[in-house]
Amino acid sequence: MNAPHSLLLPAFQLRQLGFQAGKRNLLAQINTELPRGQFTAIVGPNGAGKSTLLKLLGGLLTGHQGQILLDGIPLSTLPLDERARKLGWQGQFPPNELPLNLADYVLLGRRPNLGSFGRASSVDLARVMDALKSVELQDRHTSPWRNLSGGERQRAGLARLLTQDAPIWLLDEPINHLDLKHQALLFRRLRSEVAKGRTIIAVLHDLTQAARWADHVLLLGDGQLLAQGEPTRCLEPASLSQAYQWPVRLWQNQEGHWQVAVGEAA
Amino acid sequence: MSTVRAFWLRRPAPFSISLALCQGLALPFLLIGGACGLVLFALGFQGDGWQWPDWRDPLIHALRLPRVLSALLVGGALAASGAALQALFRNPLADPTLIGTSSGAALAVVAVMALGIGSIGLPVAAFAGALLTTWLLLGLARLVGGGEISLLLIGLLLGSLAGAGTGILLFLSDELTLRSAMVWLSGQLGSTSGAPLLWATPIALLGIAILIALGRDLDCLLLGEDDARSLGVPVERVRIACAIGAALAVGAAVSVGGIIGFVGMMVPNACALLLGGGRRKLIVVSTVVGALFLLGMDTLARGVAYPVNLPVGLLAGFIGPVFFLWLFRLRSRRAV
Repeated sequence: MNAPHSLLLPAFQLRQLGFQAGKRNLLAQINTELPRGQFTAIVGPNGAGKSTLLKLLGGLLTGHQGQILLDGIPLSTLPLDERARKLGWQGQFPPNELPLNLADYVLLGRRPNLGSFGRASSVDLARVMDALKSVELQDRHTSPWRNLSGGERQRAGLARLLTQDAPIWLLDEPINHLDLKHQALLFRRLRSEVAKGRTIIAVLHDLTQAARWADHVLLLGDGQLLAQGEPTRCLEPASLSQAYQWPVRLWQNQEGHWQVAVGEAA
Repeated sequence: MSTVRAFWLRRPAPFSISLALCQGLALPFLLIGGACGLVLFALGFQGDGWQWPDWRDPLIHALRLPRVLSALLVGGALAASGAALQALFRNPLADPTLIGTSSGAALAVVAVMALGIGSIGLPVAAFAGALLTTWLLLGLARLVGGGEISLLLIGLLLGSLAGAGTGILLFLSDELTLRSAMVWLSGQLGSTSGAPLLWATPIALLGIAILIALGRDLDCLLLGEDDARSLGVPVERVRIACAIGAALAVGAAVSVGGIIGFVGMMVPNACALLLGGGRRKLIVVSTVVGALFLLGMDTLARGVAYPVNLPVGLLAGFIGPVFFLWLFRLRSRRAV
């Protein structure tokens, strides 16, 4: 998968990263490293630049300032296919309409390995079925996309990521459309992927979920990196309130579950 | 091959065995059989009866054979480009006629005809016209925004603009050119003012080949730009290649048969409903089915008003809108 020396490097190194859309500064002066083999959560209020940062990491936006190093190599110098073999990306909204069956959709995860022309082998098809089995959709592999519910589409996206099998996953709000059971199942699944050595970087809205499941947190506010590090140390009242421009506190109740307390503004 | 078999046997019905059987065996046989029968029928069909085609008869090899070949070429090219354009615009209602590509090609052809240029000049001009229209449409749709309805509206506007240009050119030119061009423009196959098959065929085949090669990347484009990029698809390059491939196919089709609407929308949608599956397969199947479909329609057009030779474009203009409405209703009911 990776050369041994790159295992010692962080997955991503960001240096003076900034991004503008028109005249608006969406991100500025981001300097950080994202650890390999861990679950990193990007949190912050609406419009803080979370999704922009994730898209930059995925190489989906052009024209940023500063440097993004993936495995120590500038991201922009990687050929598209090679980048797609290293980075799996899942957006916030699965497509509404898609003239494909579920299995055909999941098979597109092999595009980085097959290229535009390569024929899918029986090994590729077996990967598709395994991925569908692990998201409990194996019975629906011939279903047209339009017959899948929002939650099933989200899980289909996860199956596509599993089929793509990139060592780093970039997920934008992966628990969108999921009910409580499937949220818990998804996080457990992500933890087991991290235990197998995968690096996961996810934008999360829910601070309690970030505190519970992530190893590492980036707190963004208004395009700035306000805090980073271990969730408990990073998500403390002062920086949270600064990020959200509102009194916010994260605390652990007697059963050890994380809860958010939202205060009244002064 | 044996590993594939073993894989199918080991797993309980992956990808639906019946579908695989249907696509693997029955469909090609059906298509080949149907194709041979249809071609034979079209060659011997007279309007008031059918005779076994006699190859020494000049009527067969000088008139009907070119007409049959034109129908196959035009139908295949239109259906293939429809299947690809529907993925490019992420809109199942896209059709070379509805989005103005055909009209752009026709305008270029009429302009070149007015200058007195013929033969290879016609399909090349048609290609340029079709490419320019597709490109304008892509650019304007991004500029205006507003989703699939706005795309169809802009296409309609571009189409009527090109149609107005064509009308002015025809109005200004001398009467003889005008009359022969009118017949060709309304979708008459085998008219003498269209481009020679010898030049149009390789251009159409090149375009279809480009579109088939793009198949998997077009599937990825359907997921959205970000997803496609994240799967390693060079999005802009694929868009340009698809516009060029579709313009080659549509250009060749228009230069031979004028404006024949709705074939590029009906055939791929019907095939997609029956088959599902990836875009590459859809483009290949649509090409074959589209070729046979237009041949069938053209034979019908020769028969319905015999001895008058009805342009197949007019017949398609009757069937197409009904299909369009049905599909639109199907889709809007799903959205609820």
